[in-house]
Amino acid sequence: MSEPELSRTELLLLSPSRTAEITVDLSVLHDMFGTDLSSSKKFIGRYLEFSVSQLEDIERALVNGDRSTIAAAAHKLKSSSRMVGATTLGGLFEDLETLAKTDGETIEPAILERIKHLHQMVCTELKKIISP
Amino acid sequence: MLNIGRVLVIDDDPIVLSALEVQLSKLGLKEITLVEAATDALEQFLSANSPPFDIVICDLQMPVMDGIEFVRRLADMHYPGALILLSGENVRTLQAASLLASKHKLNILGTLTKPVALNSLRETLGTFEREIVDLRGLREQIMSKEDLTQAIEQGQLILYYQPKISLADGSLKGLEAVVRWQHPRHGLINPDQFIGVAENYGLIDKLTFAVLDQAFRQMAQWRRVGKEIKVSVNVSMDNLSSLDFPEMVLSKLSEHNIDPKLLVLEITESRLMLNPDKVLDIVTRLKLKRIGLALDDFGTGHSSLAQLRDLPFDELKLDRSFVHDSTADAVRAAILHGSIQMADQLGMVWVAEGVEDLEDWIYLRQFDDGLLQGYFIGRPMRPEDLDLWQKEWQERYRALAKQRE
Repeated sequence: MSEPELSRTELLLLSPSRTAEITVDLSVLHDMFGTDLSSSKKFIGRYLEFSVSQLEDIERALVNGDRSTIAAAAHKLKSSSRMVGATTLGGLFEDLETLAKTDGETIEPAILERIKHLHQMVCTELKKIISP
Repeated sequence: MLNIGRVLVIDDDPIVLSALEVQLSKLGLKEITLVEAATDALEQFLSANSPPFDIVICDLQMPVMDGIEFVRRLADMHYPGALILLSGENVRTLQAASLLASKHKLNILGTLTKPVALNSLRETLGTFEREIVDLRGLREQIMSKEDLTQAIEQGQLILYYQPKISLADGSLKGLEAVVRWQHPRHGLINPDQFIGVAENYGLIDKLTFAVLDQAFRQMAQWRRVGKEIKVSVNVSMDNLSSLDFPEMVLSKLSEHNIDPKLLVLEITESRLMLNPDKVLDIVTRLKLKRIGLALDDFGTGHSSLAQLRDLPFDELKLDRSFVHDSTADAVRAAILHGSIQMADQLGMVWVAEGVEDLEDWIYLRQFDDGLLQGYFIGRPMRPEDLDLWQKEWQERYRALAKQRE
C-alpha cells in the first residue's frame, strides 16, 4: 500500500519544536521528493544508516590520525546531511573536511563531540518522520 | 513523463546517488546507472562500441578524477550525448565548469546544485532533445563543402524571422532573419551546425549573399502589402574581409529596391579580427550607406569593449547568457544593468536577447526603453506566420500591461 501524500504544511507540522525546525529543515525533503512521503522515508532510512557508519569511520580515523579518511567521510556527510535538511550539521561537516585537509591544523576531539551531538538530534527528528 | 533513454549518474556520495535514483525514477526514467567514481564511468564508455548513455549527470567535486577531468575525457571521446553538471559548490563554480564543457563542444543541458530539487531536475531534463544528440553525431558526416555548396545553390537554406519588440509599447520594431538548412535527409538544421563549416571552407560570402537575397525578396513582398519592416541579417567577421562588401550589399539592396535604412547587419566576432583596419574601413562605409550595424552576442567570444569603442555600431545586442534568468543571478543582473547603462550613454539602441519567460519579461520592465527578443515574445517563424503572431502578441501585450497596472 502506498503512503498517504502530505502537504508541505502537514510535513512541517510533524516537527514538534522550534529546536527541531532548526535541526532539520523539512522543506528540503519536500523540494526533493514533492509530497511523496514514502520516497522521503526511504531516503531518510538510507541516510540514517549511512551517516552512522561514516561517523564511526571518522571516529576511528581520528584515533589513527588518518586525516584523508576524515576528509573523505566529512565530504560525503556534508552533502548528505544537507539533503535531509540538516543544513547546520552539513556546515559542521564542511568545516571538518576543511580542517582535515589543512596540514598542521589540529582536529580537537571536542569538534567531533559537537558534531555527534547535533547528528544525534538530527537522527531523532528524522526518525519521527519515519515513525510519527 | 520524460522520453529519455539511458542515464548515468556519477557522484562519490552514495546518498546523493540514492536520492537522484529515486528522483529520476519518479520522473519516469527507467535505465539509470549509478557509479561512485568517474574512473569507473570512463571504463563503461571505453568498453562500449557506441555511447552507452544519452545523458550523463556528473558531480564536480570527486576524489581521484574530478568532474572537470571527466568532462575533458568525454570531450576527447567526442561524446555526443547530453551532460548535466552537479555540485554542492557555489553557483559561479558550476557556471565556470558549464562554460568549460560548452567550450569542449559538449551538449550541456544545464547545472544542478545540491540538494537537487525535483522541479529543477525535471526542468533541466525537459530540455533534452534526442534530435540534437543525433545531429551532433551526424555533423561531420553530412556537412561537407559539396553538401553545403549544393544547399546554397539549390535553395535549401530558408529564413525564419524572429521579432524584436519595443519595451516601451510592445510594438514590432524589427525582425532578425535566422537561417535554417532544410536538409533533404536530416530535416531542419540550425545555423550553429553549418556556419562554422561555411567559414572553414570559404563559403561564407556565398551563404551570406544567398541569405541577403532571400531576406530582400521577402522585404520587397512585405512592402507590396504596405509593410515596411526592418530586418537584421547576421554577418560573419569573415564577410568583412573583402573591401567591396559594402558595394555588394548596396547593389543587392538596389536590385530589390530596398531602402538601406531597413537593413541591420548583426556582426558577431566569432573569430579573431585578423585585419582590424580593413574591418573599420568596411564597417564605416556600411554606416555611410545608412545600413544599420549591431554588435551581436555582446559580452561573449570576441564581441568586446574594444569593438564598441572603435566601430560605429547603432545597436548593442546583449547576449542571452546575461538576460535569461537575470532575476535569479546577481552576477548576470549586474552585467545586464551595466551594459544597458553603457548603451544608453553611447546613444545606442540595446536589444535584450533570450527573453524566454515571464520572469525575464517582468525583470526587464524596470528599464525605460530598449528592444526585447526571445521565445517569450516570439520564436523564429516563417514569414507567412507573422500576421497571426502579431495579432496574438498584441493581445498578450495588452494582458501583460494590464497585469502591471
